[in-house]
Amino acid sequence: MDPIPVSADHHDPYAKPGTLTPAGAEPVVRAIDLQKFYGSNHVLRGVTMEVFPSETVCLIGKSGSGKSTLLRCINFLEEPTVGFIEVDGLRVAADPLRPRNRQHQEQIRQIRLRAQMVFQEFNLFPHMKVIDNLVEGPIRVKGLSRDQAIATAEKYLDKVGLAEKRDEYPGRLSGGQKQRVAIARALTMEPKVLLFDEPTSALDPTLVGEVINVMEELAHEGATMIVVTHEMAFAREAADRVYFIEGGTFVEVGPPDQVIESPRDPRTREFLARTFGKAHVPSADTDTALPSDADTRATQVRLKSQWSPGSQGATSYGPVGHRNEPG
Amino acid sequence: MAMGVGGPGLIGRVSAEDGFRLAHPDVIVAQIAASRARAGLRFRMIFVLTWIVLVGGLAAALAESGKVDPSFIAKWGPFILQGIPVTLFVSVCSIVLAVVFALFGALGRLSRNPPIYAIATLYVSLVRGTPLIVQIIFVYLALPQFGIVLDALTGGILALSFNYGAYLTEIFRAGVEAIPRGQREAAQALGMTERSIMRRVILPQAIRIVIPAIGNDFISMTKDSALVSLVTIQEVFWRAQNAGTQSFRTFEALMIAAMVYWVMTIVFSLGQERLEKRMAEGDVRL
Repeated sequence: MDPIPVSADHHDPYAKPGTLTPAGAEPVVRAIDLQKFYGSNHVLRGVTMEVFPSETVCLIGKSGSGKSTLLRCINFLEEPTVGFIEVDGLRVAADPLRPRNRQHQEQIRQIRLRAQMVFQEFNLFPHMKVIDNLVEGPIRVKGLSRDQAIATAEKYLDKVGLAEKRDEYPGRLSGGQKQRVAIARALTMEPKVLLFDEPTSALDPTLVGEVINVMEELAHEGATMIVVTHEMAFAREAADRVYFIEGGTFVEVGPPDQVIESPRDPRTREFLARTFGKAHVPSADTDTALPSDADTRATQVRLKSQWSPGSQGATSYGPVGHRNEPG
Repeated sequence: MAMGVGGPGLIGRVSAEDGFRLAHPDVIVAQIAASRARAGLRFRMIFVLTWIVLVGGLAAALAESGKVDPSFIAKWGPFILQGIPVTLFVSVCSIVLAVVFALFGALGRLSRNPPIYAIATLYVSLVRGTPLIVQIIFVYLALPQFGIVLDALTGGILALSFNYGAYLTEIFRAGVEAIPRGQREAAQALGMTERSIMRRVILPQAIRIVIPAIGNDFISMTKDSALVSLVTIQEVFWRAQNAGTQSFRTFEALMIAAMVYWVMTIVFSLGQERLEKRMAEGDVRL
């Protein structure tokens, strides 16, 4: 096999600071020439991606396209085969031959402190109360005192609107509430970037909205987020950039109004057509297609690029119309 | 067609006076519940009655045969019953110790460290591959050859717990493996170390899963503890055997011992059932 070329100086040609990014900021996340093999299956074929502070970036693509793998490589839940991950200035090279090496493990732990993940299946700890789920990381990993940790946890629990569920066990919460607790758990670690792995795919359609609302609020407040999602409505409204991935490479990257509204690559078009259940032709008379021009204009009121503190409209997500079937 | 209140009016009663009258659904629901309750009660009553007939009949037949000596039971019964605390002591100590063995055994069986895994696997294989009775006598009679002399009680408890620990090891390991992979991943994603993932996230959940299994093993243990009579521990079976052979009344003696074990297992099984129910309710939290 040919040697796999890796250059640590690669830059993401599509990266550009988001609308909320402070001037002169460096990327907070960089994935450089990332490749991942499962056995002989080449899942990621050299992707380079940079995310600036306060940006929201959405990864979209078919299942099996490598989007979740890319996300899981960023916090080393999957050890990349080749490449580098950099989070908040800490750069770690893939070390697939010695993944359990002590020093490597410590570096990975440092990356994970900075890049917290929200899972599709929530993965709350069922034997712990909500509040204990939240403080477990800060106490065990960051070494906070219990009082400090609880103060932080309560702040974020309140933020996701579940302050009153503090002493419940996760088993007594709805799926949407569980996911909001999971988001609060990630926030309580006060990471530099939040990674969302299809956060609404395991939810009943009626519960998607409450989770999306929390995520939109975070995006609008300047959290740095990388979101693997099938929720095109979320991508359209909250993302600064959308990466369409297929066959382990980026096919099309750009702001959502380009990639989702008027995709150039035929593969992107095909994917979106399938996602929306019909040809990707904006039309005014169906509620499953993309919004018509009039709808788009109405939507733009809530677009991140035009958002300013205090202007949040109540975004309502119904189960119909905005809910898109996974492609 | 006329429809009954809240239903398609096909369920009803015909009587000479009323003609065709529709029953209210609530009435029918209540009738179904009452009929279910009656059937359940009837089942239980016949069950108890059958047991009384069988056991009582057997007891009556034995008494009638004249071959059973009631004076033996009066005389030696209390002596045999005095073995109950010993049996319970041996069982409780052994199960507690077995859980400790199993915890380390399971951690070893889950270890990625080759020698530790090998040791744990050898333990399970060796102990499960040899008879319990051999292990008990081995501790008592064979170890002294190497200068290791344990008193009967210690040796008996050690042998029992070592044996049960091996079986529980595999149950514990399965319990740990039953925890969804997402739990480990979530803990990893928080940045927790392998050690605290095991201690704070995996083991607490695994132990919940295996508590019913520990209860089952405890019930078996109360019966298998009869084997330590071989090393002169004066528990129920030892006492029964000695009382019986002494006065050539083995039947009476063994019957008393059997009844004691039977009643103990029934009591513990009821406790076990309640525990499992509690755990199932606890699942609401899980």
